[in-house]
Amino acid sequence: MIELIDNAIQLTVLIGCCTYSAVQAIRRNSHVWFLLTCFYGAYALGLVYWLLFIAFHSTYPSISPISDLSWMASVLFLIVMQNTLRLPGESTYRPLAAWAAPAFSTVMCFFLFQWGDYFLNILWAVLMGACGYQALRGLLWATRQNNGLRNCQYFHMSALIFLLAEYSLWVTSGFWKAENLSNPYYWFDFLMTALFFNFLPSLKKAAIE
Amino acid sequence: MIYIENVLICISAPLLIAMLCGDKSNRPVFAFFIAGMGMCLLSAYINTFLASYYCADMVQATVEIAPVVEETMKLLPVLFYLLVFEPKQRWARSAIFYVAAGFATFENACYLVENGTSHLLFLLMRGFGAGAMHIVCGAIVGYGLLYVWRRPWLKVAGTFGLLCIAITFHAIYNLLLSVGDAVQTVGLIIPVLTVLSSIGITKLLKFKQRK
Repeated sequence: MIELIDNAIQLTVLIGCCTYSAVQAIRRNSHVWFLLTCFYGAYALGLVYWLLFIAFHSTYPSISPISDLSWMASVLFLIVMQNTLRLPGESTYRPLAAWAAPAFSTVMCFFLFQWGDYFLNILWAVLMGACGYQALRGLLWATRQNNGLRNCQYFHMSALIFLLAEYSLWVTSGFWKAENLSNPYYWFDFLMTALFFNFLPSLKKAAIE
Repeated sequence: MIYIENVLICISAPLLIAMLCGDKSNRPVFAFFIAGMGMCLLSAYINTFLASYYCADMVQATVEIAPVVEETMKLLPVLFYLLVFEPKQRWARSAIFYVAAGFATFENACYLVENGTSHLLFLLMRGFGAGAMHIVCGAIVGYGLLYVWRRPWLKVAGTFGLLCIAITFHAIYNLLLSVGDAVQTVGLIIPVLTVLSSIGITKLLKFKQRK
C-alpha cells in the first residue's frame, strides 16, 4: 500500500512538472523546455505502467522491464538536454575528474549484478555513466566562467544529484524489503520526488543564458 | 487455431495487384501497408516463441512480451527505409503511419477471425482503439525519428529512446485491456483521446504560428 501511495505522489508531481514545462515550451517556443517535458513525460509513462501493474496484478512485472525502458528514455532525454545546454568551448574540455562518473557507474554496475538482470544493468551503467560524465564536465566548465554562463552549474548539479538519488534508490531496494516507512527505499523515493522540482528553476536559470 | 498466414495472403493479394496496376507514385503506400501486415504476422510468431520460452501465461504474454516485440518489429521497415532510401521528411513520416495502419488492420482481422463479429459496439471501440494506439506509437517514433535523424550523434540513442516510449504506451494499453470491464473501456478510449488531443494541440500551435 505504501508503495502505491509513494508512486502516486511521485506521479502527481511528475504530471505537474510535465504540464508546467510543456506550457513553458509552448510559451517560449523553447527547445530545452520541450526536452524537459519529454524527460518528465517518459518518466511518468514508466511510472504509470509500474503503478497500474501493481494495482491490477498485485505483483511486479517479471519477464520484461517495460518501466525501466521508459525510465531509460527519460535519462536519454536528460543527456540530450545536457548536450543542448553546452556552453561555448565545453565540447573540447575533457577534465580527468569527469571520468569519475563513468567509473562510479561501472563499479555500481558490478555491485548491482547481484540483484538485477545483467543486460539491463549494463545498459543502465552506460546511460548513467554518460549522463554523469556530461553533468560533471558541464559543472566544472560552468564554474570556470565568470559571467552569467556560470548559472548553468545549477542544472548540472541537479542532474548529478538526480543520478546519485537514483543509485541510492537501487541500493536500498536491494537491501531493504519492508513495506513501511522505516524502509530507507521510501525516503530516497520521496527525495527523488522532491528532486524532480529541482530541474525547473535550474533550467530556467540555464536557459536564460 | 487460426492460420494467420492465410489471412495475410487473402488481404494482401488484392493490395499487391492494386499496387502493380495503380499509379507508380502510390506504390510506397501499398508497400508500407503490406509491410505493416507482414510485421504483424512475424510479431505473432515471435510472441508465441517467447511466451513458450519464458513459460508466460496469457496476461504476461500480452502485457510484458507483445508490446516489446510488436513495437520493435513495426520499427524495422521504417528503419530500413530511412537507412537505405534516405527519403524526404514528408515521405518518411507517412511511411510510419502506413506501417502502423497495416499492422493494426491485420491485428484486427486476426481478432475477428478468432473471436467472431457479433459485438458491434465492442468491435467499433476495439477497431478505433487498436488503430489509434498503433498510430500514436507510430507517431511517437515517427516524429521523433525525423528529429533525431538530423543529428548523427543522436541516431542510435534517440531511436532507442523513442522505441522505449512507444513500447511503454503500448504496454499500458494492453495492461488496461487485460483487466477487462470498465478498465478495458478506459484503455480503448485513451489512444483515441490521445490522437484527438494531439490533433488539437498541433492545430493550436499552427494557428499560433500563423498569428
